[in-house]
Amino acid sequence: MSRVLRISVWLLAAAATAGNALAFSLWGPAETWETTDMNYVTRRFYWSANSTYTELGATKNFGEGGRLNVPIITYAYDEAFLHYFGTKGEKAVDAAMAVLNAIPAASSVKLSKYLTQGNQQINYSAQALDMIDLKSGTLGLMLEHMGLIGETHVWDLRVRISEPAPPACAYDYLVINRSFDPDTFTPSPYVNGTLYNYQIVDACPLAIQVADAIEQPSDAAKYGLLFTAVATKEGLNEGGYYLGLTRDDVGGLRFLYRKNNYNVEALDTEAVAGGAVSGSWEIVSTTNTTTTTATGTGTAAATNNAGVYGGVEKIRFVKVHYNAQLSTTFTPVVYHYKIPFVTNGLLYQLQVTRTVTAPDIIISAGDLIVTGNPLTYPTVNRGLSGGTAGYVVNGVTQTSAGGNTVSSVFSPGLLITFNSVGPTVYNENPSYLDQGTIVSSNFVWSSFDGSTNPPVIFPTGSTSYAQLEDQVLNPDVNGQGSVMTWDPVNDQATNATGSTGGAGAQ
Amino acid sequence: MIKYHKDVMLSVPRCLCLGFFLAGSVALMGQVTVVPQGGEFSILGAVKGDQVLPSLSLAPSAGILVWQDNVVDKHGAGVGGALLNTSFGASPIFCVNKTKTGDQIKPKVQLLANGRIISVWESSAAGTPDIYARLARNSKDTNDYGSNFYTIDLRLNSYITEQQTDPEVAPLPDGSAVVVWQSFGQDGSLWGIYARRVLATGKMPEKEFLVNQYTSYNQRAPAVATLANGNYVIVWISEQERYANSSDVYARIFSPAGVPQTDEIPINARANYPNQCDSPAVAPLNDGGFTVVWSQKDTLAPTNSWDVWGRAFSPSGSGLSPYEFRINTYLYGDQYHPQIAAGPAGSLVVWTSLGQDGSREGVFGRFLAGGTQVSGTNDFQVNTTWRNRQMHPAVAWNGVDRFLVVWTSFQVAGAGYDLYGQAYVLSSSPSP
Repeated sequence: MSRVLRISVWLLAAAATAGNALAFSLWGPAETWETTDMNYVTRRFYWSANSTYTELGATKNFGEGGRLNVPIITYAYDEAFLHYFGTKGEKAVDAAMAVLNAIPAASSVKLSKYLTQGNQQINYSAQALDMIDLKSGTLGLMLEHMGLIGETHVWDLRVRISEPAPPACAYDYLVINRSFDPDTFTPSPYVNGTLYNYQIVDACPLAIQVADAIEQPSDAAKYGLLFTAVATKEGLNEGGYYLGLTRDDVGGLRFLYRKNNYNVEALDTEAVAGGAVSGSWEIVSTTNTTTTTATGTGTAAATNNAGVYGGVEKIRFVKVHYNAQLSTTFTPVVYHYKIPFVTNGLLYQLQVTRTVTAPDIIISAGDLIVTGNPLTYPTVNRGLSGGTAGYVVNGVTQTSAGGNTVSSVFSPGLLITFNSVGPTVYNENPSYLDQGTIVSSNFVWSSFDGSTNPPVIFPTGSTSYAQLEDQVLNPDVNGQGSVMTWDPVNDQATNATGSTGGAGAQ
Repeated sequence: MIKYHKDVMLSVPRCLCLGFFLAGSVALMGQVTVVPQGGEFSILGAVKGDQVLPSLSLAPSAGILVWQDNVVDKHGAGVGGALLNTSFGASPIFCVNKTKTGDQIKPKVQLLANGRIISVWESSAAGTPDIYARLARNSKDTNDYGSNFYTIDLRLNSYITEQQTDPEVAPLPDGSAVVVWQSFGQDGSLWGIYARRVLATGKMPEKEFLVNQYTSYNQRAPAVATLANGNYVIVWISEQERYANSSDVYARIFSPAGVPQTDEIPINARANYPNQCDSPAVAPLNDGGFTVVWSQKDTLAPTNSWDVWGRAFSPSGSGLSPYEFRINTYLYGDQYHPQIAAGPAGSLVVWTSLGQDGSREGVFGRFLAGGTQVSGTNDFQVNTTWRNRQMHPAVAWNGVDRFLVVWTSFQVAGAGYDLYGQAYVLSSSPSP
């Protein structure tokens, strides 16, 4: 496939300042110009014009990214997840949430405590067996939910324009750097200390209209892509597992959620201002980086939920006691919290009450294969979209509580659906139609680390480690598996090469 | 096949001394290349856990192999080791690292003079990665280095802020060793290259010193080799030194005492290639010069992606050819992370190639006649078993008559990744 992609231009990126060692990327609702022909939203994988995956929004310029403004977010597992992943799957996702809960308040984060390289380690046996670590995969999804996107958006296209008197496929491009240093807030091509160049790839003359500035990590060749931010979902290798978050992940969260990062936002629909603003007040400037010039005490009335809010500093993910296998009833939970709020140039701590009537985040599982040619084979879906089954709470099917809203503040609601189609292999006409000629094997959800403890393979109990090994190492062990056509005249099955098998080979 | 006279083999000293890799050097006429000796073999047998990222060092009468292992120290990743006899048979496995806390990864090993051995690795024992070493000696009767460690795990970096990673090691004429690594933030801007001499006693008379002169942005991915004249050369990748967003290979030559003999030497020179280079390796030439090989992205034909390139240099650091030359002949996709070992008639270069052997990663190689030019018609496949992944190749010359290539392969159920080897001998016949 990659041979048919036309390479239009090789461009060298603009120089960055030597001080920029790190960078994070933000996302939010797609602008009108962030279209699929420049590889936004419905994206084509690197070098493959046929495969797509959908992002929840599009990359954003500095100061335009979205974030959450709810400091306590609830999550629960639905029946489909519990059936497929069981308690060990629940434990893996809980472990990912614990990593996020361990992040200090944004204003007190020390970035030097987080690794720039080596955060992703490899369990080599798990890699050989195409295993994806559930905990690590969840971490990447949650960082996306919190507002970060990864190295696939260090470089983006702003304009793809056809030349005035074009020969076929003559395009020019305007390229933008959409990753930002967490200390200087300036554009930087370095993520966790790794330099990214780009190469523009344009699918023209294929019917598909898509081009992108494809990031080229400068040290991809040594030990594999082990240096990417956790927010780069595509950076999680088969067999890879994260030790924690990288420096740029935490740098991005620090930027988004520090209390003196003021944005015009609305409170979540389930949140209600307490009616009184309490505590000390401060006079703030109109910039979003400078805070106090004077302080005092007092109260003021909050008349509506829209306003200028500071970051919530820290988000805690709380598992709520909702067992989909035991009940469809969720008992509402009430949370009280304060967030920085600016009115008339004064900074207050706004008292907020939020009544959670359904878990904010539902962890689910489902068969996500989209039949077609080519096959669409996602590992996970996020958000609620048309056709995706909702979940039932208090007798009502929730079809719109998840997903992210189109604004600079994200709804805390999210539905994560892990692909539970199970271990699969791919066979292809005309010559690769039995177990001995498997074209490729596909991912397996697992849970593992660097120890020799055997990986947990999901669904638990259905596939053993030895079976997976057998599939990889001895694919023709049973001597069967060809596609057979039943011949009713001769009352026997015939495979693609004309040989016959017994009735058991149908 | 070139046959060495028995006396030549016997004349090779047991001790490792300056230029040991050149011992047994003979005049080889015509186009010399290498041919396999025997077939692929399992070095350790089917061992529980994953044995990956091997490193080896050979001498006429002994050899040592280390690797990253998730079983050997029973506390996550550790460093496993085994001695190799002259037939490349392995001793029982031993654990190189004494400290079990954290992960011990990316090990390298080097035989030194007087039967000493130094292993170096990256350790997260203290949290962020540091560089550690441990020394062992040969016992009189058993060649059992593994039971004769005479130091604890020695932290080599005195600068312990931030991360120090990716160590490499080379022997020095007096029996000491020079270890190089990359350190984050120490030179004032991202990664920088540092080196430190380690005596055979384990003492370190000086602190680590900065290797690169250009310190802005990243200097990373170091490698080191001892030269035939006693000097050593360090190579690395430097970013944005030549122009915006470039990644080029540089080298610098030092005396055994660590005194710079040159400024930084640009290695890759082909101006019409926007340079994106990575993972250099280096080996000596007979005359005190050296050969550098590295991965380089093909920016003119992007579907070729990473390829393996090389260029030879004089003892003073002058290029022996105006430009670098491409070593792999199969160009499509990724050929990367080359390793190189020097023998008397040339150098063997091996690398990992994606998809070339029919299934994911495979190990491929090519011989450089005289260390300066490609030899034979094409690159050749090293691994015989091709299914699944064969990767992380390492290569060494035994000082007499053979190269040994070692790699990791996933091919035995229940045993994870294991180490496999293939020996090569010099030949004047066409390459495989």
